[in-house]
Amino acid sequence: MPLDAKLIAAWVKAVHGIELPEALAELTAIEMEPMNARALAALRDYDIEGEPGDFEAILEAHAEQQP
Amino acid sequence: MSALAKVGDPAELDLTGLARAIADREVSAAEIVQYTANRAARLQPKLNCFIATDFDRAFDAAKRADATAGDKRGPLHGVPVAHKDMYYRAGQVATGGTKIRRDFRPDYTATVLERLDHAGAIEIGTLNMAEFALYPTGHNAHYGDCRNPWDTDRITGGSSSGSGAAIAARLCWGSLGSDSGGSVRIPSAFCGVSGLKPTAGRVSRHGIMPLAHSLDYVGPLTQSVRDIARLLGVIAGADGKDHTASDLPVGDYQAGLGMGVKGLRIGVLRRYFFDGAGPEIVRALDGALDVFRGLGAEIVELDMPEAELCATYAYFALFGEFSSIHVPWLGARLADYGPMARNRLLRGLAVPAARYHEAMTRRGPLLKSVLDGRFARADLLFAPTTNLAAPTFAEADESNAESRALLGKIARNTRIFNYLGLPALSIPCGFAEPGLPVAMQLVGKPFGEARLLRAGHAYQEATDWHRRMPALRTSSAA
Repeated sequence: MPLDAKLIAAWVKAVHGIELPEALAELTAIEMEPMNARALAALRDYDIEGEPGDFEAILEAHAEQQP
Repeated sequence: MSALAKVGDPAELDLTGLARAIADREVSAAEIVQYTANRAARLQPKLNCFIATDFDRAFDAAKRADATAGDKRGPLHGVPVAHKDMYYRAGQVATGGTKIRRDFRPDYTATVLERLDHAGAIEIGTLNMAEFALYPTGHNAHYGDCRNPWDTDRITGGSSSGSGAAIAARLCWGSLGSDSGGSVRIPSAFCGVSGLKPTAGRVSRHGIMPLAHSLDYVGPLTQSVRDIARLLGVIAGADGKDHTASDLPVGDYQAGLGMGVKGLRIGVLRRYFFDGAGPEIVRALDGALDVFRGLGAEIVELDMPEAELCATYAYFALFGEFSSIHVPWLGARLADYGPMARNRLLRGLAVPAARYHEAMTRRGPLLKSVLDGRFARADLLFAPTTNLAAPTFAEADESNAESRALLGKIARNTRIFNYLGLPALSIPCGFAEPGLPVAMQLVGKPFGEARLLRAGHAYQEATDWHRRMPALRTSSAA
């Protein structure tokens, strides 16, 4: 289902109490649409479960030795 | 013969060369500060690099520096520097490029500024930036636009706009920017200077204005890669005031610079990263690969299938984090933001928590996939920093769909590596019409800054793109 600008604006108003102007809501929908679709596909297609703390541990575990 | 005449035009010296000239007492710190003040008086009206200057304080510091005995001098002794106006110094205004913080005076000093002070650097002022470091151009609604020294009708790139322009125009010899999606590398690329986003945790972030805590990096901009090596050696390392700063030892980045690239495998990321790049950009990048090949590196073609997903998660993390920080001001002071900052902050309010959480939990596995996959075949990755040269202010003002689309292209190659936490170096590698710099981005393994700098230095020893000085032309006046 495509992202709906009016729903986005209503959601931002309800959650944050801040008006998202119509033009920005439309831009947000256009901008977020392909990324949202990609994220949804990733949930379906990739086995990439992890924990938030994994990142730092992997970074340090793969630290390059100084040449 | 004046002291300045002994070293020639200081604008032709990089930071390392100037530091050496001061150490050898060929020129004094006070003379260099005077030279810089004169140059700033001439160029600031054209470029608007600085938000504030303080040459009186810089002269006092320079006089003290000149009176200091040789054995008490640090690696940056007497060298004029200036930083993006978001580094905190106790008691001094740090505007963050915004009206909202016009009078903000922190009561503590950033760790990196303390380290630069200790190394003998002399701060001459604070530099222009995108408001709250929020967007990748040189626009600033409050302090005026910062202009590109290669063509003053064009943007510098951002958000570290003043840093890129000031280094290119030789108004200081070293500058700290910040990089949350490309904000060091993009102005480096558009202004024809060298810039590094280090590994996550390599440099303390204590005392810098936050934008997006999981993606913020402190990074130096300079003329040359050897200058970055010198600066990074000063600012990198553990910090008791920043628990995200790594305890891993800091290498001697300057010592390894001369080791060359013979046998190094450079992985070229064509798909995604070159998409939409014009023929001049591709030609410049291919020319850089020829240089590396000639220096003995092995060039391998690679795909990075993680690219799109990393860019997507970088967006959710960046927009989600910066908007959440600003919610109180968005409610109370919305009209005080400039239009570009306001637009981005409001759009970020729509990022769902579920997507943000996915971005955070998948960050480690995606990093591992890149390390086990892409870096199994290459020691460094190679791509354009941006696949376009600096656009004009009008082209990048977000006023229409075309302009917004262009803005979306500027950070597409850089923000991926903020998300992955990997070190990334941008260095100039040619020019596109009409005389605008083009840059390559080299990406290393975690904490692999030494190898990255070694490759960049080898390239700069074989080329002179980084030594080219902008003519400060204005294309609309031609």
